[in-house]
Amino acid sequence: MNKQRRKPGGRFSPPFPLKQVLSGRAGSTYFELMIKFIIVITLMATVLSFLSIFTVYLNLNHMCGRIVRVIELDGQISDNVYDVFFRLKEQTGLSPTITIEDVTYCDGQQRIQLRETFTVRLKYNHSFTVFSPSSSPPLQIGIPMEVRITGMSEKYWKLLE
Amino acid sequence: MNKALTILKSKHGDGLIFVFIIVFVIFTLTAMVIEYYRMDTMYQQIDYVLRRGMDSSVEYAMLDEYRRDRYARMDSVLAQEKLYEYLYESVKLDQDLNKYSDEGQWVYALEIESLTATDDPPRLVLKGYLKTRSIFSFLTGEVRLPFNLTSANARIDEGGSP
Repeated sequence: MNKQRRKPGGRFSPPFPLKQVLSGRAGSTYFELMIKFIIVITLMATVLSFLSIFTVYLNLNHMCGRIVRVIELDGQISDNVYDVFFRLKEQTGLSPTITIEDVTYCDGQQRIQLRETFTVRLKYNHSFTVFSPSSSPPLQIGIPMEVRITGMSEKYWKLLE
Repeated sequence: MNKALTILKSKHGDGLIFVFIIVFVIFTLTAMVIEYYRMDTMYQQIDYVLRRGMDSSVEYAMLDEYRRDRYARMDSVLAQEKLYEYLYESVKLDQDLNKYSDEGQWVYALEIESLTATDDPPRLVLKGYLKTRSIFSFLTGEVRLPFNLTSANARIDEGGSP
């Protein structure tokens, strides 16, 4: 009886020396589980942070599509187009540059004749934060993004001869 | 015969077969989801292109002289002609309304069931099917997706440049 109580881990056993704790197998599964959990959480956080890049790209694509649709319906590069552009910039928090190219205007007022095509190009440089240490500025990578969508005017402009 | 029965009853290697079955199911499901999204995206894109063509055809065929009298009227024959012109020249379909990629591969075909145009009210109605192939065509044959599009123009004020 006394012998059993004096064994390591018994009722009156003295604390384990560090070497014994490190080499001991008792409770190793618990530590293994903790380490695995930390690794899984880190991996998930990494994957989720990468998803933000795709979200930004989708937002940029959506912005471009909306602007193209406005030009198609208006049949011209009017103030309305830039209003929509600035509103979308506010909503998405992105600040891309806009270029309208491959376009033929039917007069000097930036009007696009029915069924004439045009291309809207949005360019944006997304800063992806890899990690942000508290003592120094965050480590960021610049990811250039570009979206081009071609549209077609749906407005018929009756031009004076 | 006995050997075949022995193999079937044997438990050796059943884990491997189980893994093969799971991998096959996962691959099939993934292919189905990807194919569904591919076809859905294509359908939406073609729907958008057709709508644009119909809107522009109606817009072109509107008779502006009637608008002066606050009356909306369209040249229905011209609208139909303009729609076909759009399909051939802008969408680049051939005479049988087949669409080919730049590499010359068949992508889809339009089957127009009916194209109805009315002068008053100015309206163009297009009904038909989009015929395309999927990677499961060997099981299901060609896929036919229906569309029913309407474009109307009720504007009675004069448009265009002053």
